[in-house]
Amino acid sequence: MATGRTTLKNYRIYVDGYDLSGYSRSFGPLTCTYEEGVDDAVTFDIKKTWPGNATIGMGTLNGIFDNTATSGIHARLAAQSQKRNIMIAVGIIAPPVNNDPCFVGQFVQTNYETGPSENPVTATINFQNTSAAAAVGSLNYGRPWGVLLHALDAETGASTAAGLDQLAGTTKGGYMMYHITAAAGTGAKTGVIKVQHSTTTNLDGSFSDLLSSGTLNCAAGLSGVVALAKGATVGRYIRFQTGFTLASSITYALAFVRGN
Amino acid sequence: MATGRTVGRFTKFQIEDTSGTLRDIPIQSYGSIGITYDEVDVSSLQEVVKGMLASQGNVSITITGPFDNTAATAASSSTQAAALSGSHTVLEPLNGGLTPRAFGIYFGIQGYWTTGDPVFGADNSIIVTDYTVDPAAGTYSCKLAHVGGGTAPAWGTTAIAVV
Repeated sequence: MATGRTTLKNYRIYVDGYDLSGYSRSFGPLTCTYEEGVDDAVTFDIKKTWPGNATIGMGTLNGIFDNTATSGIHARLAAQSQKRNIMIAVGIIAPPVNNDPCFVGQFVQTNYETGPSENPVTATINFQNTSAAAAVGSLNYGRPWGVLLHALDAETGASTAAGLDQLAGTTKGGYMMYHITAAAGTGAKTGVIKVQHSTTTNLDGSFSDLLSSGTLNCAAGLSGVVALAKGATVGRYIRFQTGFTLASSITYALAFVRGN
Repeated sequence: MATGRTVGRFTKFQIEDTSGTLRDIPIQSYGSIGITYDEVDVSSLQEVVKGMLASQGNVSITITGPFDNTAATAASSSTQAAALSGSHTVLEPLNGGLTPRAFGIYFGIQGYWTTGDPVFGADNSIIVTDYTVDPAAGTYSCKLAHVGGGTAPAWGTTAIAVV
């Protein structure tokens, strides 16, 4: 994890299990806006505000049109009206590493427009805002910002590393999102991706499972979200974990968002 | 304490984070700072000059600045330059919360803010209702609103403290 300020070139965007960073010029704004209810009883000299439901959005993806088979932006996003699992990892000064900030959400793609007169030809994709009330999929959380527990990279064995110290535990649940971009192994290449937590120490032996993808047939283009109950306890320390059965290597990115 | 005019580099913004500790955060713009009262027109046609009354006040502050995830550090005090914590570190966890937070916007006069210089804010006063990041610009914007049950912000000349 690095800290400080950054620029767009250090962001990465993952959509439905594919890394579309190499096709993207910009995206955003990344919003989380709470409806403001005005409390203006006549006895108040100054009006007051109550926050209502959140509207979460990732804005517009401005890309470069490219018809590379399977993993290109045209192959991935030409089909509209689809709900997309989107993860935007924020590298600080350098490309994203473990525990950097991460914007996570499920957004419905509302268009796919190309700009043939541009040089190079562009692709513009808009996404619908997702409000908490919409409860799209399992993401009924009014918070899109979490941490990139596992930067996009290959894992070939279980982790025994210490985790991320988030300074305090919480009892407001949370959710994880994973994107698998490649896998090796035999047969169905089965494996599992987990978030583990510890309430006591940041030592390997104190971690236990918090969230699990369940058994996956690992392959490029696989992504998913798993959420905790809203009141679930999350320990102060969190880390990624990978399980292997028929898979020998899984290349994935994993984010975790603590509920608030 | 000095008197007279000043420049933006001597302003600083502090807000109470989720742990209850004041933090300085980096700012590029504040929008308008102060209380704006609704104007109620109570004049009649028979009066040459319109008459107005001030009704209820509105407090809404939008700040912008660089996206920054630097770890939180203790806020500065009188005569000190801002000790900046990360904007993302402090503001994002506050978004959507209902707990009134302390904040202060300090106007140092021709130097770092010193007790006696103007400050606008209050303890137990505001919430964050919007937090937006613009990746292309490398910036955030954040909206602050006076929360129900909170203390109204006001102008003063002493540092805002979390009590």
